[in-house]
Amino acid sequence: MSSQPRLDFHRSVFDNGLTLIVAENRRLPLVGIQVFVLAGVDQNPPGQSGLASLTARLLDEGTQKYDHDQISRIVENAGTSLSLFSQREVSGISVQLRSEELNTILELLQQMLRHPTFPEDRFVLEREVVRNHVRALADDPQTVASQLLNRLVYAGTPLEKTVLGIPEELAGLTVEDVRRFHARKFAPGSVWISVAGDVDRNQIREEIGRRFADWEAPQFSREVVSCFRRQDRPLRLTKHMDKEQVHLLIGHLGVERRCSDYLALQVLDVILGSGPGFTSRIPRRLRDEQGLAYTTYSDIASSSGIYPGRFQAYISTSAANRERALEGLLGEIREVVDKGVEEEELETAKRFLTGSFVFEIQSNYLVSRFMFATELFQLGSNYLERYPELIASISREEVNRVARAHLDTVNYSTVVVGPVSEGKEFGRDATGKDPGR
Amino acid sequence: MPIVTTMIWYRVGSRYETPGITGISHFLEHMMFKGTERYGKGEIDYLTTINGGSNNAFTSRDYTAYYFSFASDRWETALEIESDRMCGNVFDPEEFELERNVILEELWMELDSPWGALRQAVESRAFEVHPYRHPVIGQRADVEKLTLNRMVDFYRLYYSPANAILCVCGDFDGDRALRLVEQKFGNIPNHEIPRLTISSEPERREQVRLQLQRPTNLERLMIAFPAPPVVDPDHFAVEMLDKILSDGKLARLYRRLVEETRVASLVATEFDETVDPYVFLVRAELQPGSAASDAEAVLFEELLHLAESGPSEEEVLRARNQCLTQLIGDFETTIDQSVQLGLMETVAQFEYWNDYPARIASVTPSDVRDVVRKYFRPERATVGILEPDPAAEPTNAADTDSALDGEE
Repeated sequence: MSSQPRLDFHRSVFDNGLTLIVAENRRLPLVGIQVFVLAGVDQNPPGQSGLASLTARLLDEGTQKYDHDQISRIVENAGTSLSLFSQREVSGISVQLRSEELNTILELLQQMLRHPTFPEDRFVLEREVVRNHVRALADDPQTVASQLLNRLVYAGTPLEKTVLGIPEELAGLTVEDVRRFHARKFAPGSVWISVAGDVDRNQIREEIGRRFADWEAPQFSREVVSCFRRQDRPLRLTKHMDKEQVHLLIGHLGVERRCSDYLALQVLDVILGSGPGFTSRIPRRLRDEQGLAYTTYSDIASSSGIYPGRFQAYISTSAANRERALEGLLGEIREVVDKGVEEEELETAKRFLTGSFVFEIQSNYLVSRFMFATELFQLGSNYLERYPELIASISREEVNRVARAHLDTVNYSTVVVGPVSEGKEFGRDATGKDPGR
Repeated sequence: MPIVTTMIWYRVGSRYETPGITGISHFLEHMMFKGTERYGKGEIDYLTTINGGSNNAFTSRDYTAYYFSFASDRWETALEIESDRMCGNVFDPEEFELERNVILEELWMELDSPWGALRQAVESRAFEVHPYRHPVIGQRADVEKLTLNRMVDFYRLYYSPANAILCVCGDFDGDRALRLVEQKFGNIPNHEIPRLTISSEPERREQVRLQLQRPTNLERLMIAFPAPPVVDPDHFAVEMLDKILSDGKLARLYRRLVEETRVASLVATEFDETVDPYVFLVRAELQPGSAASDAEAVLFEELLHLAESGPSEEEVLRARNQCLTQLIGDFETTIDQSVQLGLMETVAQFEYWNDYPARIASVTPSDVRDVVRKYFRPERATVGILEPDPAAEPTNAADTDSALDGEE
């Protein structure tokens, strides 16, 4: 069948533990490089939220060999685009470059990863920039709702706090904290370099080896967060913001990527809340059939990673529709848990997932992310080829079982952000009825 | 990659709207997923799903576009659907009312966003007569009172082969595709689209200023300058200026506003390809302790430098490389290709891209200096400031005043 996608990629693990993954694609004279370091929000020490992110953001602000101005010239003069990212469990560098720039950029990456200097003045500047981004994000009710849900779902772990950091902790970070974080968390065994595009895999392995094979990180230590706990009672958090729309987010702790139910949960997501257009139950019924919202969805699989992701169901609607929207979301979750899915929905969802898998690898950027996930979670180098049969084998009973096992209609968190009164009033107002049943 | 994207573009958007029916193009875009004579409600999405595809649509000032991406062994479904809904879309009154609610929610979402509210305010004042002053999503009052009959007339007027550009990109057989397109679209009755008389905007002689207050944590600044349309030879120099001002940490506005004066934490510019002269937008998020007027002063000072001395050779060379590398990336996926080719054919001609590298390479420092002198004069600007409402309390997601209630 002509649509069966294939992806040939090659992995090399150097003696010091650094992993290189390469997929050649010579169609355009472009290369996408993603460097992943297992040092995300999860590695932030207590009271130092924002540290992982700030460390990543400062990697291009000075190294032993280049100052920040030289780095900008190397990147921007050639039209290269370079960005730094930090997430729940990884931080890193994303680059898109013309193939002729490859060696220059590999040299720069070596400097950024191994020899950043974190100049004090650039640290102060960047910290102030980030503090203001945090203020700006707090103007966005959807972001606020998502942050509040994390506070409930990941309570007691570093993941309960935001990626950029909470203001008072961010204000207390010093450049020494950043230098220490880098020394402890940036180590070859925690680094994946994923390359897709116009490269020769043997040549790049040699170039990477020359620059990284002798990297040692004697101070390395990695914390494994393990105290995740599904909540054992319903929780609610309300936040007043003076807006027209109210943002409702329901959720609880989800699953790890290596959970054996992951694929069945992907199928469930397509049926319940994240299929294309308005085919899933939640967008179809709440948006298309009731006109309650512009944005409404649910998912559980997409946020899973090294650590459990979260189940979330979201809707934003005018304040007057708040009760209806909340009941609507809950009703859909209860229905899928109590009554399960229809055979026809199941087949449609399976056909969607197998048919659309090819879109996961349509750009260098996506390929490099796909390869990283495949390696990190040890899905096997033929995962792409095996995926259709893995999905095809999922039965209705299995989807119904994972819905019951992983969606909780009693002990979940509810976050309400928008024109609401805070606290008890909401408790009486919206959920005077038992929220769980 | 065994993927095909089919994207159809109609030359209709807010540019074609008059007071009273603003937002009709966008509303119509939503109604185009509600079913046709051949496909019942939900069937377009259903077909997309069982075929493992994706679909979406977008409306802007000069166009409305719809697309499907499918694996290449089933992409032809997209032609079936597009040809059918070009002339056979069904407008059910109940569906129309439900969708009106969805659009009003979308409108609230836009106005709840500080940038969304400021953008609407600035754009509405940047033009006196040109329809670009209307928000694409429409004025609330117009959306609330739009009638189904008016929409059906609008659809019949603008959805016709003569007003459509079909763009197919990816892994398919060209000859077969052309035969299929002829087969599917060849019999659709065609009619000429009446030429609109669109008043051209008089040249601005005095700066327009506006101020909004919202319950926000920081001040935001947005300045609109008049900008050339895509067919204007000045377009390329302005595109280079866009890079020189805001692309990267060496860019002038980042340097001055974020690094040196530290009045802003974010500065960005926006410049689009449009049929008629539109705007070049500069926006910034202000640091506490700095006012929008501080950022504004720095911006105009920097523009004055550029108007006097132009950019350096190095800046122009850098902007050129940024434009040319971005060009390659902009054609990476089949959706990217369909967007770039379809957009350009809709607002000008797709051959624009053939000439693009040479045109960009020919821009000199004095060309950039000249466009700054011509378009970026203070008296031609529309300056919008959104400041925190002094009566409102600041919002902080991580603060402790949120009410946690888990006692039940």
